[in-house]
Parts: sequence; C-alpha cells; structure tokens
Amino acid sequence: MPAQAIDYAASPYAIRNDLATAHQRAWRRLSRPGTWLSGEQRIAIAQEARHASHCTACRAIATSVAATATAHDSCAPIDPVWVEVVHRVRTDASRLTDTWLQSLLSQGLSIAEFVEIVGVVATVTALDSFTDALSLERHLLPDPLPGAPVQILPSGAKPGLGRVPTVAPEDVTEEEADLYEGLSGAHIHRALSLVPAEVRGFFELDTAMYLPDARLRDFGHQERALSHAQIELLAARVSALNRCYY
Amino acid sequence: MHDELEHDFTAVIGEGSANSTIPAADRLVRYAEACVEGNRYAVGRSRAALAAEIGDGAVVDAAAVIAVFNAAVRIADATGMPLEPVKAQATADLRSALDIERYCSS
Repeated sequence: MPAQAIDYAASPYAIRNDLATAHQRAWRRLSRPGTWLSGEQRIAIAQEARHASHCTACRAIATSVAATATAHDSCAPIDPVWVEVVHRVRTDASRLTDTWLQSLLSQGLSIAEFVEIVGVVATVTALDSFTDALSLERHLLPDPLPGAPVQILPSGAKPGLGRVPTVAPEDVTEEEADLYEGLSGAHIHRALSLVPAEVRGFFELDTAMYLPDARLRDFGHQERALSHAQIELLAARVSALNRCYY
Repeated sequence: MHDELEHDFTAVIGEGSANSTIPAADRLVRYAEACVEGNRYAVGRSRAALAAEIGDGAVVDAAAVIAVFNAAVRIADATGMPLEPVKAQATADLRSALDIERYCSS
C-alpha cells in the first residue's frame, strides 16, 4: 500500500466502507492535476491549509475587528496571494468580503484559481476534521502526480450569484451534462461550478459524509445510524459555530 | 428538518440542548462544539459520552457530518453564496428566533 493511501484499519471505530472509499478517492483527486492547478500546487495548497492554524498572522486577524492584510507564516512554495486565500478560507471564512476578493484579483489571482483553491482547502478540511473528530492520525498528504491542468472554463458560467461566476442548472451544457448529477443544483452546489471537477469531487465526499441529496427530504428512510433530526442539528450547529449564514 | 415530531432547534445556537426533543441532542451539540473548537481533550471526552449513549456507528456518522459541514461552510462563505429565496422564506421564523441573521456577511 502506498504511504499516502488512506487506511482506517487501525481505527478503534469501524468506518463505513463507502466513507473510506470516498476519502480515498478525495485524496487521489487532490494529488492529480486539476483544472487550473497542477498536482504539485494542489498538494502545496493542502499543506498550507494544514499550516494555517499555526499562523500568528491569522490569529491576529481573527481577533481584530476589521481584518487587514498581513504577511502569513507560510510553509509551502506558493504565491503569497494564494497563501492569503488558503489561510483566510481555512481560518476566517465567515468574514471574507467582495472587496477582499477583488483586491486579490487585482494582484493577479484568477477567479478560476480562487475557486479551485477553495475546493482543495474544503477537501483537506473535511478529511482532517473527520480524523480529528475521531482522534485519529491525520492522513499523510499524497505525492503529487505529474501533468498539466486542463484549463477549461464551463461555457455556461455567469456572474450574478455570490462573488464568483457559477453555472445555473439551466445553463449546463452538453460537455458538463453530469455537473449536477444526483444534486439539486442548490446554491451550495453551484458555488464551485466555475471549476466543475471541484463540484463533482466535493459533493461525492459530501454524499458519503452527510447524505445523498435525494435523501435529504426522505424522512421516512433513515440512511445513517443518526436520524434526520440529529444530522440536521449537527449540521446547523457546526454552521452556527462557524458563523456561516448559508 | 422535520420527522413526525416537532423539534426544538434552539440547540443550534447552543441553548436548550439538554431539553431538546431530539435524542442525544445535548451530547451531539457538545461533541460538535468540541470538534469545531479543536479542543482535543473535550473531543475525546464528549465523543466517549456520545458513544455511550448512541453507539460507535452513530459517533462515526456524527464525526462525518461535523467534518463535512466544517468544510462546506468555507465553500459557502468564500464564494459568498446567498441562501435560496425559497429556503430563506421557509426558515424565516426559525432564523429570526435563533438570531441567525447576525451571521449575514457582505
């Protein structure tokens, strides 16, 4: 087994097979070239996301009334503008604003890069939060795979929802026909749709860790060991603790 | 957020979980709080208490829900996703009662 393969055999808790498989697939996706970022860049971003919680600048920002740009403690060889994105999304996401993003775009960040970085940070956050919640060792980051990013924007993407262009379900083109397969196309599904691979990847993970979208309102069927009400209580409490309005 | 019962969701803002109609609400909320705060000792202690009440399988499911929402909120906040009007309308009373509007960002 490669050193970076995910293995829950040593876990004192039995991990559902579909959950372990989804985690394994997410880890593999992380190591591959993405749409706008190379495998090496994606792993560097993942590494930086883990490092963000130790950043003194992030701690200072979190305790200030108005967040101001400061040099972060960085560990990975990535552009300082990317470091700012990674750290703020990881440690202070609820206070991000349109002005903040516009300022980064004016410094050379592309909006598609931003969306992919958010997807990578979210993936690492999901898996690290899971292992932390069970007091398991965090998984070793995978080795990056070679190859170039494909650099394709979905033709149906339009501005108007949130602060990034997104693809509305009615604007999905033939090339991206499976973009919202198994999903309702709710705003949270659309959030990363400027980089369709990030939508597919994150919501495959979400389906295994939360619920399949089609089961969200199927109150007659209990999909997990927790009831719908217990799941929604946890989801809402975590959102509130993170000060997330959505 | 409904089954055949009406539930009190004030536990969402950290209040009233001990009296909630949702089974093990208090232990679930304490576990979620410990996980989001990143307090290792509290995570272990609250997880053990939760496992004693609802079992190991449910604890794994709880850990998964907490973890994926800890990630999804970052997607929503970073991209500035607004709540769907239909959801905002359907949950207006609940949001008002829980004072969730204060999390609205620019």
